[in-house]
Amino acid sequence: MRLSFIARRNLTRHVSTTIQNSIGVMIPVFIVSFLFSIIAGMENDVQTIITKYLAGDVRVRNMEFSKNEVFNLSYFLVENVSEIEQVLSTLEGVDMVRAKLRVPVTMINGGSDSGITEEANNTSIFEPLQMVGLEFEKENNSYNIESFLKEGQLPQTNTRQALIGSETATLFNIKVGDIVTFMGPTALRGSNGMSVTVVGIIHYPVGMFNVRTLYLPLNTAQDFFRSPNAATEINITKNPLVKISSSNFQKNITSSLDTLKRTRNIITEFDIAPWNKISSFAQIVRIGRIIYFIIGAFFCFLGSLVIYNTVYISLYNRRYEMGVLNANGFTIPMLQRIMKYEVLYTVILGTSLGMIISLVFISWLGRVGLDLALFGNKIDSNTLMTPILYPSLSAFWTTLLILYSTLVCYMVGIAPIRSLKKTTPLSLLKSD
Amino acid sequence: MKTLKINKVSTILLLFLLCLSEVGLLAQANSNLSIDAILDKLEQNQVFEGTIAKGSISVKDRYGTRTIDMQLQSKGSDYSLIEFTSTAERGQKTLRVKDKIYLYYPDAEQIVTLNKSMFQQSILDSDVSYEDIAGDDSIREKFIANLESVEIKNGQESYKIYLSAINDRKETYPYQRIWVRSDTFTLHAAELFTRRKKLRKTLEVQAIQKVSKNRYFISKLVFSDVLKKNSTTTILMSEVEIRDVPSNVFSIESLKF
Repeated sequence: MRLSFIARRNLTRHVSTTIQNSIGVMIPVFIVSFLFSIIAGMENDVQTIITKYLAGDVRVRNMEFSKNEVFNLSYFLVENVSEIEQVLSTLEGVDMVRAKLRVPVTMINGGSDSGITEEANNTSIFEPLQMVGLEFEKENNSYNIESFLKEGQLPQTNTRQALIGSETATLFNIKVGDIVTFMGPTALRGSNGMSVTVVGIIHYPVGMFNVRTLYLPLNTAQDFFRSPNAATEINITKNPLVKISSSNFQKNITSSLDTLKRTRNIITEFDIAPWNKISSFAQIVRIGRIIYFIIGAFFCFLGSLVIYNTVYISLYNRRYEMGVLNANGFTIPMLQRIMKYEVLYTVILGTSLGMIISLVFISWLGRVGLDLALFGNKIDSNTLMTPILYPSLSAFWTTLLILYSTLVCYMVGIAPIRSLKKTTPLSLLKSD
Repeated sequence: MKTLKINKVSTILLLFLLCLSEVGLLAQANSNLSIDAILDKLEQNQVFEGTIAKGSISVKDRYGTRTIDMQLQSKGSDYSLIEFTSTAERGQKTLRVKDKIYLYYPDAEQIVTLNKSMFQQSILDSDVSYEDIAGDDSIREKFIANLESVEIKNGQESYKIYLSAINDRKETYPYQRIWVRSDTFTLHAAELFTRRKKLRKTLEVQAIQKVSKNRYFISKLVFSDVLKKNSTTTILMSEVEIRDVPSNVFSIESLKF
């Protein structure tokens, strides 16, 4: 009779112990896979937000701007934007090249525009905003920006029209048709002021794009910033249908920009960054994965202690049975192997159950989404996250989790079995 | 050494707007001259019924040098109007009425009335802030002055005077050291200190121009903000006319024209 068969038969004979051990493994596997699915969902969310709305798959900026990012020195620009867009759009795998001009400005809310100055005691109220110059047509082709319009329409090119973020509109009671005046720095390090008509209110799925934001046609923003044919960044989006690795995609962009710099005598140093190096939030999520991995390892270890405990008790309770088997010709190593098979089967059963349950649960949650507001806190408007999270599990992490939990639980579970070595058949038979 | 209450020296900073000095006496340095007399002559020389001038602001820092052209009109010590004429800033105006500052941008429908919290911002990213050009005519009551010595400063004999504010919380630069030329009684140099007596700004008059008998005009003034490393702002004035300017020039309504 094969030892593995005896092990399986023993498991069916001790159903309650088997179930107890399996649940001990199943629960941590479920918890860890759920945690991983949350992190994977957050990663997917961040990637979508960055590549679609924020920066594309690769972002090009002036190196000086990136070096001094904390000071927001908007006058370090990428110039010759139209030539760069033209060159990059012909590269393999490029879906869209979009220029953006982001400038911190101050909205003037109130102020006086009549009367003799001596009597004018009222002062303007200043509110910080981020002015973003966009190529609306391209944005629309890329992710259908029009679908995010809560009210009104997209601004026309070369006009003093603007979109305002939904939360900005609510905060300052701005409606479609209102005129907004703002002032801010220029690329020439002077200052400028401009009035624009709000033609639409936009509500992005990401909170930070709706708070204190004002969206203008790119050329209007360039006009305000005194920076014709220049932008603070160029976003390049990859065509998902073209198979090209991210590193090759970035290399192609770098090499074509180098060529352009040589031929056009451009002296600007470019900072060419892939999406996952752009946002600190993406890096935080990556760190979160590592932390979850450590937490997961701890949970698995805890689960394995349940097996250790029950195997230890089982060994004690089944000493007479083992003594009988030993008297019938089963050597101590054979008995140990039977026990190891039992632990292995229990661990496989527990892991499989945990994975099946978590796959069913996560796939359901991946469809309906997880409303983070249910956890009591509204998503911070400054984070790169949507309020609804869609957990997901990748094949890689699922496989890794199965292998890891099986290995850890098995290694811990078989530890008590070593004590059988020190026993004799007589002591086993006497133990009943 | 005699002490005297005098005005806030930010009015002296207004020289770059007023840019005019009148000479009471073309006297040789006289160590017997009282500080009252020196400051009286200095203050009397700062106020004119009207000034019209052209000029430029050159900002030199680690990113290079840029120059902004402007036209200036002023009336007394309370009213001044700067209109920028360089291409990038063409049509922009800064109006000062007593301690209030109004900004006009041609592309904006609203006039911006600066509040006090924004006075610390620099004008056109230069070494000069709005609070440097804001002020009132009652500053003689806000400082205590000490005549420290008569010395040669940048090759020019000058009275070295130390000013300390009576209420240091009210003044932008509560401690100041100024040098007044002994021959023309115009400002020659100044060091402006914070409440913790740390040097914040320096200014140096590099050229004066005689515009009429006993009247001198500061035609080149160099500001330096110590917090901005390797940065200086030079204000050059030319084509000065001293004549009355109508009051309606300094109204918000006139900004739009």
